[in-house]
Amino acid sequence: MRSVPHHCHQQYRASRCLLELYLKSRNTVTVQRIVTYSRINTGLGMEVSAEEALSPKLRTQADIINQLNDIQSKRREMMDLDTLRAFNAEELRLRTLWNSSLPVNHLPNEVLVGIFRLDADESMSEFPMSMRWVRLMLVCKYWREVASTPTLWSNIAVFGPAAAWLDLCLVRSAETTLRISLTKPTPEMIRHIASYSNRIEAIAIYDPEHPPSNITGDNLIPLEAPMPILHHLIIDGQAAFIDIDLTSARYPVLRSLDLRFAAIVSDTNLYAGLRRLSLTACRYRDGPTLKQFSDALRVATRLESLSISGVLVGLPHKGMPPGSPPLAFPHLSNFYLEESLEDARPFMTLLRLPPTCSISVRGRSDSRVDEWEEITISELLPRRDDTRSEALPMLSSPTAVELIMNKGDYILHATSTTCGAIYFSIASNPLANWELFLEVGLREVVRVFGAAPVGRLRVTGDHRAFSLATAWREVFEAFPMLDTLEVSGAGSPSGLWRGLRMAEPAIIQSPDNGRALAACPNLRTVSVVRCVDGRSKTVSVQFFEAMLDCLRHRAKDDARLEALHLTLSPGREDFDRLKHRYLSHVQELVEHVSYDVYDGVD
Amino acid sequence: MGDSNRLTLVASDGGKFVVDKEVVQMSVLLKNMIEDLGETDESIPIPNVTSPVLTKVIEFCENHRTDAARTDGPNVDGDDARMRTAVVSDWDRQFFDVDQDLMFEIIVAANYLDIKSLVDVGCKVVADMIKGKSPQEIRDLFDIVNDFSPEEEAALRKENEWANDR
Repeated sequence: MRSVPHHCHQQYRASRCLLELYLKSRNTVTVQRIVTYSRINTGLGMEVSAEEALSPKLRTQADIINQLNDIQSKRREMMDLDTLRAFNAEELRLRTLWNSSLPVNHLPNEVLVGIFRLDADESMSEFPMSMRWVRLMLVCKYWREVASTPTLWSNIAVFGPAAAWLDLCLVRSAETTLRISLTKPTPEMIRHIASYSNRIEAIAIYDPEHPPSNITGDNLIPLEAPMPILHHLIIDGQAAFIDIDLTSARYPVLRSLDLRFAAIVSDTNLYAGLRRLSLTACRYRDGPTLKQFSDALRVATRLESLSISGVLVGLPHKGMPPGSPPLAFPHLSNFYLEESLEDARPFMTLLRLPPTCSISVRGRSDSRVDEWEEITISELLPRRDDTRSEALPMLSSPTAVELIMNKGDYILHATSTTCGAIYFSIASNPLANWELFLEVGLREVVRVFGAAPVGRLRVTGDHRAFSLATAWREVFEAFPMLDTLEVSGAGSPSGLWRGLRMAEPAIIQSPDNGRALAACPNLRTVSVVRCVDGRSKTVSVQFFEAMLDCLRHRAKDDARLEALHLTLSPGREDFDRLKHRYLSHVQELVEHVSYDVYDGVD
Repeated sequence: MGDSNRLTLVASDGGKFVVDKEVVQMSVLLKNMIEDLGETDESIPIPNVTSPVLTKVIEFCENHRTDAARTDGPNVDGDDARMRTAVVSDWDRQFFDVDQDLMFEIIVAANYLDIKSLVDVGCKVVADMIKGKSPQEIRDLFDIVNDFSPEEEAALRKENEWANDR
């Protein structure tokens, strides 16, 4: 038998020990520990290097052990990860359990869905304007689960080229009816939604001017697919004029149509079912006339809301045959028109609106500066009085009227408890300084609302013109029921007091005692607010003189004011002087007088 | 024989409440129950609603008895439109100025009893509470903890990134 050399035996013993140590311990055994073992077991000194201390065999074994160590440590890491995962999963489970115990999460799904919906609907619009509610999915798993309710995804609002998002929303909407608004969509997205045409109840395509987009009539052709339940359609093609063929055959139940910068619908049958129609900067493909446009509208007898802006300019109205049948909208509750003065009147003459309808008519004028004086609100309305009262019966209803003639604003606004609001305005290019034409404006108040039982009147403009007294007189004569008057603007409105006095002689004798009645005997409150005099102090003196004279007469005629509010700006010093000279007299004639100095700065 | 215009409701904890029929009928559930029962002196048990919650529900109905017509007639525009247009008065806001537990219990009870106006107002109050708030702010508001793993949350954020307005 071959004897084993002592050092080999020792090496063998050393490696066994190492392996046993490794296997027993199941701990990491480093090469350094092998070297140390080897040195101990072979009797080699510390002066020998690690390389020398290990025989090739031991080196191989050390490699193996190293690798086993690696495996072991990796396994431990993996076990740690598993443990960690298990811990994390348990933590998340407990967190979910915690959430499920909270009162907010005891709300039934349908209630939480309702809350999510309200969160989405900031604008109170019936159209989806945002999907901000989607962030609620990140609150917790229960909310994410609730948010997966298909009805929530039936209101889809997508901004920009988000085809994948649109697709996800459509998938999540399951089989619900869809209300979709797309802002600057890609042609691919439009094609995609067209494949859901049977489920689309409302759709809006917005194409704002900036940045440029590639939406054209051709890209929208997929929308010409039949949409049997489509109720509401908006096409806003500001970036490019949009021409698509909308027909009643394709959209048999369309009730609301809003077109901006798009072609006017030629199919008159489509108008018959409409409840709401809004046309902004739209035109016909082949340039028809106002007659054709009015013929189309004539069938829209069920309209409840009609808005026309920048449309009539493209429709020649010269060919309107005299005695054309009127456009009657018996159910209309809102009417809006924004056109040039020349185009507005022929159209307004055709209208027959119900007395309860709210109207807003805004005229545009490109007149020269020397023509401004001739521009009036009446230019927007039918010229003949009988036609006017037939077309706009609501003009005889207002109990409160406001005239605003500022730099850039010429507005006549009226309200009543029995009809909707009435709003007329004229905008000019270049911007007119309307405040200079207050006299014209006052006469317009009488011309437009002369038949109405006006009780409250508010007037803003430049009151410095001496000739205003006559215009005021006409106002007081036209509105004998006036009880509240408020004026503001430039200059002291002495004309109003003179006008009120001037209106007196025309008043009938009282049958009881033969005494003269004051003009507007019900007038109880007058407010003169923020009338800025500029540098002219004499006007204020005239104002106080005229006011005192008028109030004395009214006191004599048993028509005292109950309240007089004065906010003037003659300067603090002058005001104190005027107050001294006049106010004690005024206070004897009016039950309650309040006064202040306005410095012209808000 | 008791007053035929009044009814006794019994809460889950045994609390008894004598209430005008007109008020009770704001609840569609109870209205139908009364119609089915006909004239009766029997108390009506409300097993899912405790006394404190029922007290508040009755307080709301008493205050809104004049606009009870909301529950009548066909619901033409649907629940969404009704909820969207519901008006929350100062009184309603004050009514819901209670601790969250009670607030949500009132809404749950209103939903169970089918009192539409109370559900609508409750939903609006809660919607106003969360309006404009981030998910974390909403969690803080209602003591909700984040139970998404980081991976789930990241995936959800990525998936829904286009939901924000551009």
